[in-house]
Amino acid sequence: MGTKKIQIKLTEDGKIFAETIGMKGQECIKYIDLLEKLLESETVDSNYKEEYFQFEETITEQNKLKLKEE
Amino acid sequence: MSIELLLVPIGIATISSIKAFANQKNDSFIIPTIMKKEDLLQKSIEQYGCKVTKLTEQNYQTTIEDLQIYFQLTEQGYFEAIFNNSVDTQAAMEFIENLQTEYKYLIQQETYQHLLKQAAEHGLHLESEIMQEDRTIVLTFNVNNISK
Repeated sequence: MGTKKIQIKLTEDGKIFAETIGMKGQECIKYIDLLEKLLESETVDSNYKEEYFQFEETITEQNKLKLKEE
Repeated sequence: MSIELLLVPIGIATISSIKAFANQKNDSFIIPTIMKKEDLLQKSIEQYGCKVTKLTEQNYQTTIEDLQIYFQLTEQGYFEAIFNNSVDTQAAMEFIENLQTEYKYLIQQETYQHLLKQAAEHGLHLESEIMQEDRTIVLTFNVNNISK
């Protein structure tokens, strides 16, 4: 699993750009509220990147057993 | 990356451009500003080299070379600057533009400090910090489990 990061750019003219890195699917969504709180700001535009439309593979113990039995 | 966000600090009003409007009540004109935080408005004026006088909770006055300029908090939450009609409109707009440049820089610094202070509590650990040539601050955080 890759490292998950958030990069934040604070421009001199008051704009803020934030992007999540290494997060797949909808995981990034939960960071929007947090970023607004930490940055004391409001989101005015957003852009979903390719990774948003990918799924993170999660293999549960149940599935592992099922595969083993098969 | 999965999502990119553009955010605007709460302390900045979204006003498209600097314009002067005639004040119907008296011999003055008004320039709406992007400035919403009174402490940073005061700091901006002081860093511009002017003295600030607080008249009321929502009104401030400053003086530049015998010219008095009033800043008044509007119902919408931003400050508007009020100039006497004897002041050249272009000079007034230039003054406000310069003041707002200072204000936006203070907003950047305040946002930066607040972010650094609180990030770790919420599972964000600073990996790197870079100041670009255009004075943009770039912060990269490693993310642990988000805490609420």
